[in-house]
Amino acid sequence: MNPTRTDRPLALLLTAIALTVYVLTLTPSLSYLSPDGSELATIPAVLGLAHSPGYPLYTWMGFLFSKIPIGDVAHRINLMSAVLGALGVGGLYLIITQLLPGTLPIPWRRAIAALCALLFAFSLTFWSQALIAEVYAPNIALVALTLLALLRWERTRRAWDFFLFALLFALSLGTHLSDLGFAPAFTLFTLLTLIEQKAIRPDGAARRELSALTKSLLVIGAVGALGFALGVAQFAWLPLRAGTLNDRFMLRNAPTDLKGLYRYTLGAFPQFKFAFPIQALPDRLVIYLYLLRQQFGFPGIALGIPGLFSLLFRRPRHFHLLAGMYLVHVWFFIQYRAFDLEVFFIPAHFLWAIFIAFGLYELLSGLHTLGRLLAARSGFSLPRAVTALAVPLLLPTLSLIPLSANWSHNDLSQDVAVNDFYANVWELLPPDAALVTPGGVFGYDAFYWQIIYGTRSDVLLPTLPGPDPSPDALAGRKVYATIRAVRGNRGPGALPPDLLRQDLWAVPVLVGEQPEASSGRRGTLVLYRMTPEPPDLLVRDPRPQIPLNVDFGSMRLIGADLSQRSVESGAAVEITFYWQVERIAPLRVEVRLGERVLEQHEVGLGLLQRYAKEIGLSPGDVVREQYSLVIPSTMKAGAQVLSIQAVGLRGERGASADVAQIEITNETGTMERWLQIAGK
Amino acid sequence: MAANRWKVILLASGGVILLGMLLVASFSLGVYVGEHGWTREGLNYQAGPPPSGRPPQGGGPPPPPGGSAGGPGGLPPGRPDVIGRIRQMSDTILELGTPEGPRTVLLTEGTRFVDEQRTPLQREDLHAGDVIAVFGRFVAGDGGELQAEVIVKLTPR
Repeated sequence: MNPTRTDRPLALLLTAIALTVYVLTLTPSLSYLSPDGSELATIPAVLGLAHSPGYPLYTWMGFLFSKIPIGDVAHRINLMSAVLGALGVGGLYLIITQLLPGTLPIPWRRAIAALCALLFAFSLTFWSQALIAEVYAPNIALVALTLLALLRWERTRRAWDFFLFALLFALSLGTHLSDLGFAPAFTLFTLLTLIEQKAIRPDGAARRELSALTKSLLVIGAVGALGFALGVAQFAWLPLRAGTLNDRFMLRNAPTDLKGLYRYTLGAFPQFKFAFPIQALPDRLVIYLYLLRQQFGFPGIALGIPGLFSLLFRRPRHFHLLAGMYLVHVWFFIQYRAFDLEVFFIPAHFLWAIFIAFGLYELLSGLHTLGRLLAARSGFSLPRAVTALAVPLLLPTLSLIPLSANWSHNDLSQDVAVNDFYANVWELLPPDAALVTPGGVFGYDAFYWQIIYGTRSDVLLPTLPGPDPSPDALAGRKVYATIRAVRGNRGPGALPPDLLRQDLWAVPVLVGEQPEASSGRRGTLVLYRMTPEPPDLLVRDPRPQIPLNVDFGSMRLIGADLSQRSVESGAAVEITFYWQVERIAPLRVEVRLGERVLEQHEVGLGLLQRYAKEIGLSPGDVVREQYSLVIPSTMKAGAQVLSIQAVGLRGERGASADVAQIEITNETGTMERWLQIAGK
Repeated sequence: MAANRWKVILLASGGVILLGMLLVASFSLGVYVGEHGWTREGLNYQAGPPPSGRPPQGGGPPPPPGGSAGGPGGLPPGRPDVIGRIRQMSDTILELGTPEGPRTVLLTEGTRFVDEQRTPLQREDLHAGDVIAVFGRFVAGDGGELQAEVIVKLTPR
């Protein structure tokens, strides 16, 4: 079906709806939830080279978005994900309306397409990726555009349209290289389209038809190859910018020659691919089905299965296209070993939304037919206005179900932890300090500030220029770190083993917010002071400003100090807790401000075990914990109670104590404060 | 005639594909149900009851189960990076079922294993089905991997 004049504005409307939701829930700047998002927020702005496979098109699009005068650079890159993700949603609508057969009234078909596009827009995983600096949402826009271009060529059969399709397909590799897996399905569809076109002609012209078919194949092949080559030429970016790499792993596979280019792109991360033995595949497939259920629920799976059958019988060629894309994608990624596996199935979920549309189509066709039969037999029929309008208007409202179900999980508008933390890091570090961070991709939380804004250029970030800084670079500087030097740490971001002595004490001096919903995405934000001298943990004559005397079981909280009782949101308050040891046993506590949990730690801040072993600890000793705690910039102004509570690793609650009331002020806006500290 | 033949070929091949998909999915589900029953045990792990208000001031926390043979402290600041049930394990990799779904954790020579009292354990003390809390850091990769610094074996409920 040709896209009509009504379909394009409707697609734009759906894009606008999705974009509105994404903007309302958008991450303000650097994302706590995306470990490598800070790199993807930084690299495009400076036209650098991202981690494998390089993402050239993403980088260029990000460069353009980084020029929009809204917020900071990271915010603009997040916005790119939202905009392109929303465009992908509009594209999905157009694809479905073009594929659905014409036996149902047009408004009903549009309603089905709108519902399925919105179900995908508000699905758990895709929505979460449309809010951060990541490649998955932009990739969906490219996949949608590629499919639309292919469908357009199918209608027009013009060589130029096939060139455009091939170009878009090749460009989509610059947002995610796994799109290359769609090539067999695209090739098959192209052949089927050309062959079928010839197959309907009279048998008597067989020999001429074969010659015409061969000619068509050659023309399409040449045109497609040209378009594809032009799109793939984007990867010339890799050797051009290889000199900007600072990640050990990426440097090892630097794309400076053909072999390096292969290892940086198609050959990247071999340890992740086909990482499971065949006997594990049933298990992996069940994991995929579980993830599919997370997106669309059991109704989505129940509709998608008959939808596949419907697609086969009503659009056989398109079945082979879409099912082919889907199967290759699922087959590859169920064998892929990655921490956050769910994001890799987003294109498969995109395709499943199309299958759901066909399932819905069959359901509504059946109801439509049943309604007409009943009307014919009984003589009663619903008013035309009801059938013509009610279904099309009500059906898309079913998308409110995933919208409300996933809102709290995907509302990242309060995700300020990384920026708040680093804003305080730059304020706390003394002049000419050294800040040791993870190298490469995971160092960009800190690198972002110096690269984009030149923040605290006096502070040395030894892992910024390259992965193997010399220990001599740290000489004469006070050394701080956001990473603990742990024996045996390996991997590209690991520190050189001789950079920091293994016997240094890593004393936490600043602790950032640890959002509760972040488990499993990123490590804790802690600034350590690295010192050869043991910290003064034991206090002989404690005199806390705030006496408390609360029994926490193995320890008694005898009091606390606060550096200030009034603090601007986004700033830090220095806290000291005094614990009397009653029994040698671990005690885990959680610090809250009002109802908001700020952080969790084990009393002693990870140092007590070593302290007890090397210096000594006895019942009756008083342990002092002193550190600065970041107050989130999204805290509302007013009085809040700072409290502390014993908590188990699984979240079990124990004793608690209200420490003090703190007055939160909001004189400076969040983004304004960050930009001020950045130096802009 | 040619068109009909062509359509039959497409339908037949598509039917084979669909039947294959359904068979493979059913088989996989059957294997899973055979191992875990009609539960999500093999896929995710629920960490525990959500916090419901705060208890009154004072009062000790639940005493740690068993004797406390280990010393205090030792865990890095912050929440565990992931809590989950071990689904599969090898010398260098643990695959966990977590509330967010399956997660992969890397083990290194520096990974420490402790129990809830912080008594040191060995890697061999971990088994499939154990619930663990992992403190670590992410290393680069397309999707990243969590490299474990400390693994705490949690007491079964």
